[in-house]
Order: sequence, then structure tokens, then C-alpha cells
Amino acid sequence: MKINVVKNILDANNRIANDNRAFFDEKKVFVLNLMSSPGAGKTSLVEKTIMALRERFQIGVIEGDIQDSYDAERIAKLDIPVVQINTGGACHLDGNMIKETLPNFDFANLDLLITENVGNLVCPAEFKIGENAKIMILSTPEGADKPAKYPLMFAESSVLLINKIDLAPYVDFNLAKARHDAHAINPELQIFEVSCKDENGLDKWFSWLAQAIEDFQQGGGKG
Amino acid sequence: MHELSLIQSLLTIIEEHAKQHGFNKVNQINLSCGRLSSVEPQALDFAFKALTPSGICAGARLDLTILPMKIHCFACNQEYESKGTNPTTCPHCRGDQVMVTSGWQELQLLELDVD
Ligand SMILES: Nc1nc2c(ncn2[C@@H]2O[C@H](COP(=O)(O)OP(=O)(O)OP(=O)(O)O)[C@@H](O)[C@H]2O)c(=O)[nH]1
Ligand SMILES: [Mg+2]
Ligand SMILES: [Zn+2]
Repeated sequence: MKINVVKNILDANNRIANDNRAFFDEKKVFVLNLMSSPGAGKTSLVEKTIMALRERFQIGVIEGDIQDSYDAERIAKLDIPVVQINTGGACHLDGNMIKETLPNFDFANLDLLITENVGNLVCPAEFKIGENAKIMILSTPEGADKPAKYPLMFAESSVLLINKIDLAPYVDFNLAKARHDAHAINPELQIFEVSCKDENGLDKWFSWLAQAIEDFQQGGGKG
Repeated sequence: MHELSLIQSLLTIIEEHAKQHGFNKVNQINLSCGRLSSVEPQALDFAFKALTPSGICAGARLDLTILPMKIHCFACNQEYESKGTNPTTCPHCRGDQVMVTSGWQELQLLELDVD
């Protein structure tokens, strides 16, 4: 006997992510889902973003790692509330993992929650967590062919930060190709070229983010 | 690696349907996803076998249809399908002003064959 079903496998996760989104809307907390390959510079970007925007916004961080808590310790040093999620083998954060961390934050005193996903250029893009925006980093040593090879994350993201621009001349990074392919996949993608080492280009990212948070908080919490 | 999570969700959905429709053996599971969704067919099969040593889905066949990546070329205004080798160059006119228009459909359960 054949049974017609037609159901998205990720519906269960999407439902939880939508619940998270409704909760964040009510608390007026802007949530970033930060994704990249291992070592592209996620924690470095979180550190720089905290230093630049901590006077204007109250910031919290969720650190997702398969195991260990090195990244959470780096954030805790900055005296910022941070929760570590150890996924125990899973290559991505999902809606339920985020939901379980919520009791740890004081949402009355929070404007921006930055979630650093597990270092992985593929899987995290499939799982919504209740974010306002997916932000991804591609670092120049990884190569300019990554948008064409791993398109989903580029398709899902609002912002692409091309990091380690200081290294571009040494690793023959083809910036024009990376930009071209990324825009073929996602014409709306905002692209910023940055270096978390010498801080070049980061001001544009900070402005984008500050504007997005303000629009969100004034706009009645539309996600 | 996230194929384990996907299969877990799939099995939950199938169990709900088993209660509703009262079947206790699944022969075949038809799925589909876009080629841009990051589902790896072999990893999916492996995860499925690992998670169904017994139970109603044990020994069932997974049939995954991969929907093509479709790309529009602004130079010649034609659509083409890409297998992923050089997706951002148009095979008709070699133009590179192109836009991906389809291919990231989420993994979907379409049909079950059951006893
Ligand atoms: N040259 C250079 N190095 C950088 C830059 N940004 C980060 N790094 C270095 O790259 C390495 C990895 O940076 P992290 O910020 O830990 O990267 P991550 O993405 O958080 O890594 P995982 O959490 O392990 O996936 C560190 O040694 C950083 O100092 C940059 O713009 N230029
Ligand atoms: Mg990190
Ligand atoms: Zn063409």
C-alpha cells in the first residue's frame, strides 16, 4: 500500500525555531546566526563586534562547539554573558539547543544575541535557530571557489564577510570570482571585505549591524 | 553529519503516520531535495541503516530524488540545469551574468510504501 505524505523533514526544527523567534521578538532581542568553516574567524569577529558596539547595545553570546569551551572563555574574558553549547558530535546548532540556553540570559537587559555556530560550511545552513539574520564568513585562505562549491550557506545568509583580507595577496584569493559567484547564488547578499587582524573594513560591518538592530527594535519586532 | 538528525526527524514522522494509518512494515521511503540542500545521499543511507537495526523501517529502501539546480542567464535569457562543475558560466553563450533560481528545496518525505 502506498501512502502519500509530503512533509518537510525539518518541520519539527522549524517549529521550534519559530517559537524562539516569537520569544526574541517579544523581548526585542536581535539574534545573529554566525557561520563559517573552522578557523575562518568567527570568534575573532565576535570579539571585535563586542568591543565596537558594547557601549551602544547590551550583548550576549552563545558559543556552539562540538566539544570544549575555549571560545566561550575568550568571550567571558570580555565580561559579556556567554553560554557554551556542546553539541556532542553534531555538526550544527538547532532550534532546540538554542531554546535550552534561554533561561541563562537576562533578556530584559539584552539587545543583541550573537550565536557562533559550529565551524562547518555545510550543515549549519540547513537548521534555523530563530535568528533575525544569518551571517557567514569566508576567509581568503579557503579559496574563492567556495560559493560555487558550497552554495547553500551563501544562499541563506544576509551578510558575507570576506575575512583575512590581509592574507589575500599571499593566498591568491580571487576576490572578483568570490563576489560574482556569491551574487549569482544570492543577489541580495551584502558583502564586506574585512580583516579581523588589522581591523580594515570592519566599520562597515558595525554600521550595518547597528542599523539592523535599530530598525528591528523600532519596527515592532518583525523578524 | 547532520544526516543523523534528518533521519531521526524522518523516523519520528513515519512513526506518527504508522499510528494514524495502522501499518507496521515500511518497504520503501520516497524523498526529494534540491541539489543545493546539503544532503549527502550516501551519508543519508548510512545514517538510515545505523538508526534502523530493527523496528518498522528496518530493511526499507530509501529512494532520494535530487531536484536539479536551475540557473537563469541574463545574457541570452535562457535557463539551464547545472550538475555543479562550473555553475556560474552559461553553457549556451558562455556568459557569466547568471542567477540561481531553483535547487534549494528542503528534504521532503513524499510517499511511503507500507504493509
Ligand atoms: N591574518 C589573519 N588572521 C586572522 C584574521 N581573523 C582571524 N585570524 C586568525 O585565525 C585563527 C582562527 O580564528 P578564530 O576567530 O578562532 O576562528 P573561528 O572561526 O572562531 O574558529 P572555530 O571556532 O575553531 O571554528 C586565529 O589564529 C585568528 O587569530 C584575519 O583577519 N587575518
Ligand atoms: Mg570560534
Ligand atoms: Zn547564456
